[in-house]
Parts: sequence; C-alpha cells; structure tokens
Amino acid sequence: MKKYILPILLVILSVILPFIAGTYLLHIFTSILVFLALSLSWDMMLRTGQLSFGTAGFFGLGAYASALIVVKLGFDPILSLLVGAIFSGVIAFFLGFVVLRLREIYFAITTLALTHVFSVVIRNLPELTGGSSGTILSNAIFNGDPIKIYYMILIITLTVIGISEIFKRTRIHFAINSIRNDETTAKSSGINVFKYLLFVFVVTSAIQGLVGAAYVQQYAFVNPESTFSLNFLLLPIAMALVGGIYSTNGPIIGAFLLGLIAEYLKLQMPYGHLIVYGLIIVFVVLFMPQGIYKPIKNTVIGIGKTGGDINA
Amino acid sequence: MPRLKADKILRRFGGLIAVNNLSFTVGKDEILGIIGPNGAGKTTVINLIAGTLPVNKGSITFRDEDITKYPAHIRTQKGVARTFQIVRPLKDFTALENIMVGALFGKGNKLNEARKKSLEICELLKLKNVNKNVDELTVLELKKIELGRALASDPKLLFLDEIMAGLNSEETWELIEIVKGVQKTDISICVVEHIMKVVKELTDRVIVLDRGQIIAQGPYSEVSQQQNVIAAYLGEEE
Ligand SMILES: Nc1ncnc2c1ncn2[C@@H]1O[C@H](COP(=O)(O)OP(=O)(O)OP(=O)(O)O)[C@@H](O)[C@H]1O
Ligand SMILES: [Mg+2]
Repeated sequence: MKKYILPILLVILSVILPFIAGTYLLHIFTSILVFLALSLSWDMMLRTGQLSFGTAGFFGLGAYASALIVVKLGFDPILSLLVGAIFSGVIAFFLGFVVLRLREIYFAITTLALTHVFSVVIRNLPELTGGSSGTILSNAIFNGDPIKIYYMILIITLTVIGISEIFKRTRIHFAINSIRNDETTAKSSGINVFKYLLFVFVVTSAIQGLVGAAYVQQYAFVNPESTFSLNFLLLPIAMALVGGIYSTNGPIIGAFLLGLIAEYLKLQMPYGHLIVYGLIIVFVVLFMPQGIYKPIKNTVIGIGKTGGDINA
Repeated sequence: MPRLKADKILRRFGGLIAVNNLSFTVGKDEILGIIGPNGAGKTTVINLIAGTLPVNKGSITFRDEDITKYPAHIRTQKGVARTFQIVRPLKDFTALENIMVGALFGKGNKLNEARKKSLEICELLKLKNVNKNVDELTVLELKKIELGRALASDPKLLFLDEIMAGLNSEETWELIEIVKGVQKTDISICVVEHIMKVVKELTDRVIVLDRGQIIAQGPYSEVSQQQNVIAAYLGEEE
C-alpha cells in the first residue's frame, strides 16, 4: 500500500492544480506534461533497444492529421485527437515493415530522415496543408480555455503513464527487455521479435501523434517548422536521459526537473537558458549515466534496509 | 517416425561448407551425442535445426512436420530448444526472470504460471540465487540458466551445446545427473561435447562430424575405436 501513497498524492495534486495555480503556472505545467508524454513514448521504444529519432515526425503527422480533418472536413476537435493518433499509428505500421529491419545507428538515422521526409511532403502539398506557411484553425479547442486544455493534456499524459506501466508489468516487459538484451536469445526463447518491435513502434508513434494533435488543437495553428521542430525530439530525449531511461519514473522526474529549470532560467537570462540546459544534460550523462531516478531510489531503499537491520 | 529427421541439410559460409549434405535422426527416447573436432560444424547443425540460421539446402522434419521454413521462435514454440555454447544470459534480468522468458514465450504461459514453473525448474537445477542479477552469477549458474530457459519452453527436443565446458569435475557430474533426469520426461536430447567422459556417460549413440559430414556413427564405445575417428581428432592436435 505504502508505495502507492506518493503516486496517488501526485495525481490528486495534478487534478486540483488549476484551483491553486495561476494561468502562468498552469501553462508551464501543461507544456511539461506534453513533453513528459513524448519523453515516455521515446523511452518505451528505447526499451526494445531501438533508438528512435522519429518522435517529432510522428508528433507532426498527428498534428497535421488532426488540424486538417478539422479544417477541411469539419471534424469535432476532440475526435480529431483520435484521428491524429490513428494516423500516426497507421503510418508507423506500414513504415515499420521497412525500418524495423534496421538496427542501431541505421534505425536511428532512418527515423530522423523520415521526420524530414514528412516535413518535405507537407511543405509540398500547399493546397492541402498550406505549405510552409501552415494552416490556421478557426478556433482553438475548448475556445482556448486553459483549464480545460490542461485537463485534456493531463488525461493524455496519465494515459501514457498507464501504458508505460502496462509495458513494465506484463509479458510485454519480458519480451522487449529480452529483445534489447539479446535478440538471438529472445528468438530462441520463442519471442516473435518483429511482432513486438512493430507493436511498440505503432503504439509509441500513435502516442506521439495524439500528443501532436492535442498540441495543435491547443494553439489552433500548425506549420512545418514548429511541428517538426527538433524541440519535440531533443527535449524528450534529454528528459528521459536526465531522469533515467527504461522506466516510467525516470522520464517523469526528468520532465519536471528540466521543464521547471528551463522556465526559471528563461526568466533569469533569455536564451542563455539553453546553455545551462545543455550543461545539465552533459553533466548527468557523464556522471550519472543511469539518470537521477535510480540512484535516488537505491538510496531510499538502502536507508529502508539499514533501518530494518537495526530493528532486527 | 523419429522425433527429428534432418535430410541432406547444407550450410555455406562464403566459400566454406560448414555442414555438408548431412542427414541424421533423433529418436523419441534417445540421447544422441554429436562429437567431432573444433570447427567440424556441430554448433552450426544446432543453429540450422533451431532456426538460428537458415539452411541453404535440405529439409528438417520435427514430429512429422516440415519445419525447414519456420523462423526460430516458431520452432521453439513447437518444441525445439537449445542452449548456447557461449552463454547468452539476458543481463537486465534476474536468474529466475531469464528462465521465465522461456516459459512465457516458448510455452506461452501466463506470468504467474511462468513464475511458478520457473521456480520448479530452479529447484530441479539446484539453482539457488534465483533473484540475483546475472552479472553476479558463477559459470555453473549461468550454464544452469541456459538449460533452465530451454527447459521452461517445455521442449520435445533439446540441444545442449557443450554445457559442461569450463566446469570442474564435481559440477560436471551434477549436470550429468540433471540431464539424465530431464531425458526421463519425454525430452529427446542431443549433446554436443568435447569431454569424452560426458559423452560416454550420457549418450546412447553418437555421430562423429568432420568438415560438416558424418564420418562414423554408433555407440560411443565402438566409434571411439575407429581409425578415421581417431585420425580426425589427431589431425586437430597437430
Ligand atoms: N556465422 C558464421 N560465419 C562464418 N563462418 C562460420 C560461422 N559459424 C561457423 N562458421 C564456420 O563454420 C565452421 C563450423 O563451425 P562450428 O561452430 O559449427 O564448429 P563446431 O563443431 O561447433 O566447433 P567447436 O567445437 O569449436 O565449437 C567453422 O569453420 C567456423 O569457422
Ligand atoms: Mg561449437
């Protein structure tokens, strides 16, 4: 029971946040939750051993699918979020048959290239997408109400956290961990390696599409430069690395830590924050390669154990 | 019908023919030994039958089914299991979890069934440190994990690739007894071994490979006397 207290408290806190925080703080938290969901989705793919640089690509695809279906076909914006998720998932499914044959650096570079290809295709379909200048939606979702938008993103992020935990607690964990450790052993143990890679690739891409859709509906504007931006690739990776990869808690801690530090630094020295940001990442990767979550966890468990010994 | 029938299987690596038109069978209640000098093609034979590598030619029939075209994971699910000559533990898992992987995916067990069955296997293998990470384990324990993972998939045919190598005499006897116990549970076994006392102790019949071909077969006591077999091994020592 005890280990559920902290998560439950945090969920309660996040639910009542709009009643205790002002608009500015709420905006920061909304943005952190967006990056948190992306960070977790990237980490889930990494758990299979595949380093994806396609996060921004599927984020952008979802954003465009959602925006265009609202603008061109008059879809309900809330429903369009699902369309964004499904669109990215379906594209990932078909691309998966090719890119998931690749490994390591070849997979990483190809997913990065795909991001670029998506953006070029969209730039070159001006009638449909508005080309490089993008498309403006007539209205932001929930008429731009920041509280409702916060709850929308919160629900999405909690769902992603739930998916990540399912990935950790079921046979999926055994499959993808085995694949990352040793594909030959995995196969010889009866694991359908390609099936699991495809499954994880589709799920994580769909998450990225969903988050992209929510993002674009929030701002009522989409263009290639801002949606296929490196921000949606590098920040989530940095958050997972700083917090600790292969876990749910790592990206959560990393997202809040880096998210809050970035906001604070932005106020202290506009643009200078990126330098400090980079330094933190370099420091953590060099000196705490496991991220900060595991050492904290081990210390806490260690203290608990010592206490037990004294009692015994 | 024998449990396994390999018919004229062939495998090339570039210009080298590692397994050359090889045919053999494994019977239902049999422990077959596969012996031969270094580089004879023993491990490659296991790779071909377990599906780790595809054959270039020939066919493999397992329990009356042609499995030649099946990928490795399907063959495992159908009941062909193997250990690796150089152990390949899953390093982010504990000993128990390593074994559970076989039960979960080879056999298709649910999580709690897999845990229960894997604990039973650990008991059978006398594997104690089940919750230790693999980097804390001894050579013997790592070999037991290889064997345990294979057993957890509930195989009908089990290939053991030099599982005794690197063990001391006491440990070797411990594993020999375990393997004998396993054979009684309706699992056909193929042992690849360099240690002749193991071959003598365990096998009903051996095939001797040299350059990917069978140069002799029969009970170990007979085969070990044959001139060409002795010559093949002597050739190795030069
Ligand atoms: N993946 C591979 N690529 C290229 N050549 C290989 C490969 N695997 C094996 N070989 C070659 O095929 C031949 C047979 O190798 P194999 O490993 O099957 O021999 P072995 O009988 O198991 O030997 P050992 O007793 O040393 O384990 C050797 O000449 C080896 O170099
Ligand atoms: Mg070998």
